[in-house]
Amino acid sequence: MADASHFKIMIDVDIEQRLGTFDLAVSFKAEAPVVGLFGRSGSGKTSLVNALAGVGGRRRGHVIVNGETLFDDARGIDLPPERRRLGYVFQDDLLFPHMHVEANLLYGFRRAAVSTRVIEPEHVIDLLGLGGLRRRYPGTLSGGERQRVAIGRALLAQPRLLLMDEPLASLDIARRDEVLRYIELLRDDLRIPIVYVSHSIAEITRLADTIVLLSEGKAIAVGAVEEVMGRLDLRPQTGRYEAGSVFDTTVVAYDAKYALTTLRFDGGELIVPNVEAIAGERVRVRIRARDVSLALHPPTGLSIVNVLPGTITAIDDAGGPIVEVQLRLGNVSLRARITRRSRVDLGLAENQQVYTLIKAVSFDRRSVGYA
Amino acid sequence: MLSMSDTELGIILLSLKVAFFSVALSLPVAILAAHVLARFDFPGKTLLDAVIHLPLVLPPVVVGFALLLLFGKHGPLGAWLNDWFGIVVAFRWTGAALASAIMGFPLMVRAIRLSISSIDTRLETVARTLGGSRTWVFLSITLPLALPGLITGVLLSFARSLGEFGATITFVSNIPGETETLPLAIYTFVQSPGGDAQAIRLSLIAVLLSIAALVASEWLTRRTSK
Amino acid sequence: MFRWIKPVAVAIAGVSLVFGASAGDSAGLTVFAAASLRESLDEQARNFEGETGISIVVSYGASSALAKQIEAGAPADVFISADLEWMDYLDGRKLLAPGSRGNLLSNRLVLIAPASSKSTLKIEPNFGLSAALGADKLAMANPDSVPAGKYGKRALEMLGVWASVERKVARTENVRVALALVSRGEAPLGIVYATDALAERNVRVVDTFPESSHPAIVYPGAIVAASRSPSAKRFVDYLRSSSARVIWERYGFAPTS
Repeated sequence: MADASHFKIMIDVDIEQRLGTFDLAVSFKAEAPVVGLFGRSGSGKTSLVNALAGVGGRRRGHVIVNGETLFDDARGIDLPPERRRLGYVFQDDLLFPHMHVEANLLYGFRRAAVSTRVIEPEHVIDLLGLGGLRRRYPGTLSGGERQRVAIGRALLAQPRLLLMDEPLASLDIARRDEVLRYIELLRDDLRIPIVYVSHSIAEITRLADTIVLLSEGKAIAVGAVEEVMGRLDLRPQTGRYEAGSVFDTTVVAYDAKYALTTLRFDGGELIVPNVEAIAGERVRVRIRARDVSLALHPPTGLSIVNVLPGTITAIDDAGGPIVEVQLRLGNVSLRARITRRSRVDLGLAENQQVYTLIKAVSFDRRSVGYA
Repeated sequence: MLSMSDTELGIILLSLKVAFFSVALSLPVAILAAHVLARFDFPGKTLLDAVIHLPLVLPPVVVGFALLLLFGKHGPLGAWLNDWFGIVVAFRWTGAALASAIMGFPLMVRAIRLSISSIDTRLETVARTLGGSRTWVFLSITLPLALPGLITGVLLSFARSLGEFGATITFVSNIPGETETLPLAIYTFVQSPGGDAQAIRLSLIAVLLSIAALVASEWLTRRTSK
Repeated sequence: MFRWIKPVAVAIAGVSLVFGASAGDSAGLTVFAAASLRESLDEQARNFEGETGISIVVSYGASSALAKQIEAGAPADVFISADLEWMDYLDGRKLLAPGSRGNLLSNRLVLIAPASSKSTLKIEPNFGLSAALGADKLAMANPDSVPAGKYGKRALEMLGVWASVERKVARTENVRVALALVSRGEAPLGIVYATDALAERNVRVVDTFPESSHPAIVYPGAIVAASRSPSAKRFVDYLRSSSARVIWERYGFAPTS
């Protein structure tokens, strides 16, 4: 979970707008370093982001960011986009083609009052790896490079909040990962609050702490990512999301011989392959419920590497052949999915101490995120 | 036959002066009109569009006559300009510039509008979220990206102005040194006994100037379109 | 990004200064004169400039067009018309400086043909003008408004041939255009002033219209009421001087008393 040293920001949104195919009627309050807006295509995500940015048609309602009212039609307040101080990163980088990278980056920086300039150009250029691209023109850059410049440009306008609307959607898989890592850096290094819009579960779970679930123009759920995504009643909207757990760990050791990394968290240590991080780095992991098995006693002669003690906090038995078991390991919540028969055979019940088994190879690139 | 007299040089310079000022005068108005037509929708837009294009299809004499009625010393606008600012345009080179400005206006607006329409409005939106006011966004994003259209519009209007005859001769008549632009001078030489040589010389120059303007337009457009 | 704004702005300012500085109204004189006076009046003006140092700008055109321009406020100081009617037109509208009007010159009307023409047509009542034209045109200044055309129409009416040639007339904007048409062979015959025929090598006079067939051709000159120039009277007087008369006669004009 994101720790308390992150910069928190409260977003209070209540928007009603008539759109072509449906009406937007979104109301939620969310607080977190990163708020994810998740919904399928056409659920109203982009219209909502436009409402936050102050772009587009006539609306009713209000938008209050961290106590400051950006829009409130009842009180006649409607700040134009240039006064809202919200960085906006689109799916298309929308870099200014007639300016080179440095000019693009500094476009908003130059307009920002000197006293508000907290984020410095050199820092951003460093952070996003843009040093060698300064004088290049957007047309000559790759997709990933362009998107990084777009992010840098939004940052240097000294925004109080970054709005990212499917920023990775036009990139290929390799580039996506590259840019995603940079976004994680923003969250953790610059402590910039982000509202991240996506229809990709992997991206949202990796980045967001709080999630707003959108469907047909309405916010149907708000809450911690795992909690919302795990709710059975929301399955139709969450789609193929696989219940699991997400938490942060710290790298403590690296076994060069077998290329395995040890990650420590409050509930113990995990051995994981394919992690490119050095000791001390924070790494966020996601463990799918189906990859967690349970045992009453620590097993021997087993190929599974990760065996951690924990306590059962709840068991979700919906009546079918599969049950979901919620466990606690230290201050981390873990979910396991087992057959009902096993539950009965093992006599599993709340508050019981058990051992959780997690296959090391169940960690893949998509389940490990860098902080 | 190719050497030029002082008079002829004076005529060419006058033509260039009139063309230059006619373009300078109409450019800001054309940019505004093109921006409005390209980006906004409002009742009466079609009518505005039609009025702007009128000089393109009306007989130039009609435009000149209308100008005479409006801006002549006794015309409503002419009297007002004279009483309040001491400015007289009828029968002055400024009037020739005005006539040319009006005749070339639709060409300028068309070219600029086309350019502005082709700019992705989201670029302007992004610029605003970065803190740019509407005006700043217009100056720093819209105009530079519309540059090819601006150049084309300016050069086309310039070339049109060099060739403007009907409205000019009707509105400001043919006063040597003041309103006798290239086309009017050629017209005069054509009527003068023995004036053929001069008429041909000046005609060649008119052709060269027009070609130069068109070529420059092409070249600059290509350069700024990257 | 805006490095190009400065040089462009400087360029615009520079060009404006250069061009703007050439605003013309100095202590000179602007004369509006009938088209038929072009070469002769040009020489008179050059001589006057040489003697007095006062610069003169002459705008030539059909007297009808010029009179209307003066009425609309054109900045003429002196007006020399090719007939009395157009001077009367301005006089009646109080646009002339009182007492400044006077007759300057007189002229004759001739029938011309291209220099290569062998025509032996004689002007007399009911002469075969229409037959001589055949399917071609008679070049004339606009018979409804331009003096040369009006004189021509009156003459042809008096001689009884107007009706037969009316539809064959190529109406030109002023008498010099008619002259040009004939000199280029575009029209086999034309009606212009005797002085025009003299000025153009490529035409020959077929015959001269009898003075009785048209109103006397008189060129009045006057100072325009709105004129601010102190030299206007001096110039008009100059045009009546004996040295000026020599030049008029060389071009074929006859002075009036």
